[in-house]
Amino acid sequence: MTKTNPTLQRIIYGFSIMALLMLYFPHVAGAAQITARKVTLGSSAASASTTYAMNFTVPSATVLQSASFTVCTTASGTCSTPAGFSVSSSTLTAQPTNLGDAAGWTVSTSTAGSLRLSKSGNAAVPTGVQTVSFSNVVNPSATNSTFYVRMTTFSDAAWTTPVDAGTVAGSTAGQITVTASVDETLSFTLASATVALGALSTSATGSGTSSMTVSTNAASGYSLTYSGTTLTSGGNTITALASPTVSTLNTKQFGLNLMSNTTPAVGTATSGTGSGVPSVGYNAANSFKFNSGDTVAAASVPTNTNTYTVSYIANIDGVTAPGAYSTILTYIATANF
Amino acid sequence: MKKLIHTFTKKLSIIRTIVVVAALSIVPLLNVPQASAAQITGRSVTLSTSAPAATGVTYALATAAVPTTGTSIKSVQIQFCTSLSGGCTTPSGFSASSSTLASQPTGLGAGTGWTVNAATAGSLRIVNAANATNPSGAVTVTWNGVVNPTATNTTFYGIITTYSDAAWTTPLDSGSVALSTATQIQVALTVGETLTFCSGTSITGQNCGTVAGSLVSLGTGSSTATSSGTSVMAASTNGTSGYTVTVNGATLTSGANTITALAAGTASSIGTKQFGINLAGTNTTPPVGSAISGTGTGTASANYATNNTFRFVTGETVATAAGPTNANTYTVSYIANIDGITSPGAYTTTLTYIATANF
Repeated sequence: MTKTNPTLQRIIYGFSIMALLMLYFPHVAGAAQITARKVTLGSSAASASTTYAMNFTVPSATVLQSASFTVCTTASGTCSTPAGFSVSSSTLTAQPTNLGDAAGWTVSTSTAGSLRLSKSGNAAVPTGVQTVSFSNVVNPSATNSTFYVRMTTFSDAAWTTPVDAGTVAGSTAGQITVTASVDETLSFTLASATVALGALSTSATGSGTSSMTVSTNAASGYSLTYSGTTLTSGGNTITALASPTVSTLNTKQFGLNLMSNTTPAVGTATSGTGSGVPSVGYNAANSFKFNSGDTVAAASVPTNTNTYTVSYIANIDGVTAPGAYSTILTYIATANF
Repeated sequence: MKKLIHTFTKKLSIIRTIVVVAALSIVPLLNVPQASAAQITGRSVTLSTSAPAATGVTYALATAAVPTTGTSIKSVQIQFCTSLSGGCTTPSGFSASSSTLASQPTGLGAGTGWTVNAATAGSLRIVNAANATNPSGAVTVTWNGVVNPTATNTTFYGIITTYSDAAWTTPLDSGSVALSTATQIQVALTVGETLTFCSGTSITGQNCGTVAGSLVSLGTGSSTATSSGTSVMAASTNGTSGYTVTVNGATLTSGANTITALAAGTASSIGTKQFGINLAGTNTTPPVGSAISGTGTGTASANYATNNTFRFVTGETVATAAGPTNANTYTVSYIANIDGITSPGAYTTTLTYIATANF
């Protein structure tokens, strides 16, 4: 029986162990570090189907035919795919840039947990900054959780012979839901409670004003009506103008409009950024009307505030009975949601 | 027979005499340094490294004042041996051949004039033939350039001797010390790429493990007051170029109705449709938000860093760090205003903050 040389035996053992180690760590052995690397997620929401855009710079001027981006729960050691992460529907968002050929790269979804692309026959060396973007990648299901993308480039089309490698960290994050409610609104304000028309005479028109502001977010805006009687003193009244009429001295008249008038000089035009307008019958300067229940202003859509000035006029004739004439008018704003 | 016995006895006597003489002649040789030497106390030799075979090692001798104070010392030696008994064998690999004096010794008498003698590879030696000052006080002698023994975790010994002559011949005092090489411990740690990021509505400090909540309720909008609320997010990374955080989503929406997003930095304006955010720390109009906290270097992006100025453009970067950074916690402030015609409804949006680390 031949006696084995112990030195030779030790050398053989040594080489065997090294060979086994190389088989065990095939991707790490000769890979150089990929630089300027990052992965940008289209969404960091847990379980979201999103894009993974990789930007990196490979140090080796070696022709690449495949690359993998394996997502793990740790940056090194045995890779465990984060729960929920899936590449099964992944696609290339666009052809990679500067990885080699500009076209012909395809995705492989056969390896769970690893985004892969390859192009057999690529003969162009990578240049500059490489970008690879995958769509329809499903994020890990844990929220606010870090995961790691281990990048490796290969010189063959079967993800077997590594060239360069690098790792980046990514994270899911909790989504923030912001809420606010907007209630139905109708803002209606009357600025004054009393309008004094003074002592009337047959040779001068009594006049005065009140104002009101209205706004609403109602879809169909608002309508503004008024109700009340004409000027009254006991059994005596000043005749209400049933239709739009100009002010006439020495004639019993009581009316109002929402305009800026010159005869008499009373009133102010509607102001504000709203879309409300005086209604027909009350929207002509120097023309007055009083008919309880009429709509004097309206807006047909949601509107910011408008301020209306209501101009009141009264005339009397020579037989108008003396007395203190008054009336109480009620304005009603109705929003139409 | 008697003659034979006499002859044998005579020979035995001669042999005994030879043995005794030989023994007596060897004893002085074995104990030359120790013969009349007194014990040096408080002695130590400190190595700058105990790594085996280390070169350029510093050997620092320190002792109490030498016991013999009435005689000047002209030379000193530390002889290194593998044991303290028997003949001295220099530890394998030890070398004093390149030794130098780190500084002039103290406590040996003269403050200057001491030089190294590196001729004996197994001994560290200094000499000052002109020294006429008696020793006084604690002694320190430091050699550089020594090579440690090659065996690891191995004890070796130094025999310290002072001499009254300049040739390391006439010993005064002595003492021995034990030294040892030691295996160096290599501590290895792998630090992988990291990005820690979280968002919610509450967090303790910068600890993403405590983040909670996802709903920011701005309440009921009003044309006479600004609605506001906050969320939080924390980020850290060891990425070489730091990180960016973007905000992604739509403005507040209810069916087909929306609250207008502020496309440019704008102050909150009551009675105007507005939705915006910022990461500024001390908004006053309205009073909402908190300053960025944590030891990191992250900052709010310019468009979102000004107090009382709000903006919302989906996809924009709201916070960044330019380099590796510890954690920062950002408070995101949200404001909403409505005008008088803002349609009633429940307005919502879901915002996603995305952190991208740049390695």
